[in-house]
Amino acid sequence: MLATEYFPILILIVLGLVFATVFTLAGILLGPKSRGKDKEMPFESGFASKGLVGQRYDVKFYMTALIFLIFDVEIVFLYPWAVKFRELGWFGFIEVCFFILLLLVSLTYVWKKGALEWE
Amino acid sequence: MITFATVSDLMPIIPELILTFVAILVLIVDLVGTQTKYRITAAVLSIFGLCIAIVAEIQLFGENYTGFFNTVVADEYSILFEIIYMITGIITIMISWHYIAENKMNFREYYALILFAIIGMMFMTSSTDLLLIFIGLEIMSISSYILVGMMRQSVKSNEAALKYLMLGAFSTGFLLYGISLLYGATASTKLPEIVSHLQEHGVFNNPLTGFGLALLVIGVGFKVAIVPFHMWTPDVYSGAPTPVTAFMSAAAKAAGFAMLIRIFLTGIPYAERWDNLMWLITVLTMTVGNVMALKQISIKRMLAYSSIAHAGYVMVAVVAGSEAAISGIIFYSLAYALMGVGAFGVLSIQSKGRTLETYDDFTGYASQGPKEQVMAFLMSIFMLSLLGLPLTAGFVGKFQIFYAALDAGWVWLTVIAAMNSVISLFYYLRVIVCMYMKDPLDSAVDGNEQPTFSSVFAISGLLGTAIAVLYLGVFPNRFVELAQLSVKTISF
Repeated sequence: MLATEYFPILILIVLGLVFATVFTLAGILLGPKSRGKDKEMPFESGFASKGLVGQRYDVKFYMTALIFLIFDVEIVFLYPWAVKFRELGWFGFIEVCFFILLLLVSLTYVWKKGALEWE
Repeated sequence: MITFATVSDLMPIIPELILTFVAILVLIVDLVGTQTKYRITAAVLSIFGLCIAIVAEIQLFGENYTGFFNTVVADEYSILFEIIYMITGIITIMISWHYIAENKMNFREYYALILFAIIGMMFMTSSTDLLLIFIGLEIMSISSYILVGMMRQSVKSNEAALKYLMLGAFSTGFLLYGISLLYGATASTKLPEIVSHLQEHGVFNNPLTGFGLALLVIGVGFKVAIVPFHMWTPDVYSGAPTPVTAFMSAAAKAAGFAMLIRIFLTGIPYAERWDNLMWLITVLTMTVGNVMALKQISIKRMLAYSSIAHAGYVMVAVVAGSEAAISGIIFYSLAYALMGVGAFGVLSIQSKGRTLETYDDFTGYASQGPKEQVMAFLMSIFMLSLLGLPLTAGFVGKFQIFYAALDAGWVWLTVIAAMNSVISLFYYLRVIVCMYMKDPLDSAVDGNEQPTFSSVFAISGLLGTAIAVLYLGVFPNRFVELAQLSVKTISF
């Protein structure tokens, strides 16, 4: 009973494996090859790679990313409220006002602490 | 029909709300204040906020409010534990002000982070939904990761913070995976529903539930540092700023045990195998903690291992699992919170411009001046209480736990616990012997220093702690009764 239910999935897995193997092998065996220094460099958006991977990034990047993340994610909370605006009524309205007030406080905090300055 | 949360849902979390408000206020004060003028404002404001929150908790006592679809409760059990965290917080802040000024880490965020950590602990204790407990745990953990690394110039502190973050995050993964497996097996994250499902279907009939509970034990075990999961404790405790160590060893551990009791001792049926596993963990925790503490040169590290040993004593009560044992855990958490904060607090106070850490630093400590004399006396009280001498809080706590274990029939476990107490005699008394019965190693550090206001503030906090330790040791009845009463409110 259970085995027959899952049988199509098994077929799917087998087919996937077969196709993947056949096409990869075909590419390796039949495809034209050209080797060289440029060909074997890691490819990144068309730029020539330079430097090592283990570089240190400036902490400013993390700051900006964090601030963006916080405000972006918090704003998402407003969408469901907007959809359910009538049902939530005044209680919801006050809650959201409070929420935005808190966001404002945190924005002031971020600003005053100098996290928004790049230099 | 969708139901929404209403204003009345906020009732059980009023103390949390007060603390959140105060923590945000501390951050705002940090913005307006200049470095010198407002130095004490943040500390005083935090203590004030904690006091108000304690008053709010006392008002909630006995009312049994629930909110947010029964995911947050304010029963006596959680209120008692939350008061323990807040008292620890007050003492921590009192000893912190001195320490962070001396060690050039006078960031006001420090106080806000301590408050946020306490809020996290309160949610860990007062919620009955695994996901909410998890969020509380994370609020607490993330705050304490930052607190541990607060001493930015110190390599040791940075190392400790990184280790704590790595291992803490890893253990959180275990916990979350355990929660998801339990959800998969029981179709709920609410503890009452999980418990009734497990009572109906048994723990080990479905491999998912057994495995999920085991992962939960690992996750909680990391936080309370029971033995196979204790590796981070000595390094983190000795690298962190001392008041933070005090706070973590006392409050964070109590919160971990509060969570452990809430999850495991309120109705999840115990199979025989489970008890044996817990028994083994308990014996290992006590023994490893005590034996390793013998070998330490640094008193801070010794206290770190001794806190592992104390987690072991609490685990004795977890194994026993009776009502008396749980009320013993509540009392022991308070007692250990006081004496742990006190002992680490003494270490955090500088003497003649030096930070004291090793036994050598403490040699002849009592004969170095009036301030040192007071400190040595306080340290002796905390050591004797950690040891479990009669007339101290430590004795009453241990007595309750051992008695509950005997009562539940765990004779050998109690014998091993008592033997461990005897081992601990050596290293606790060694501190007292060092302070009183030996001459100072270097005579260069004499001459009186004028005690600063911040150190007087810290010492008065420690004095209060010592008085509380003695008070609980001599008149434990009131609190013991409260603890016994509160156990009745968590469902069995």
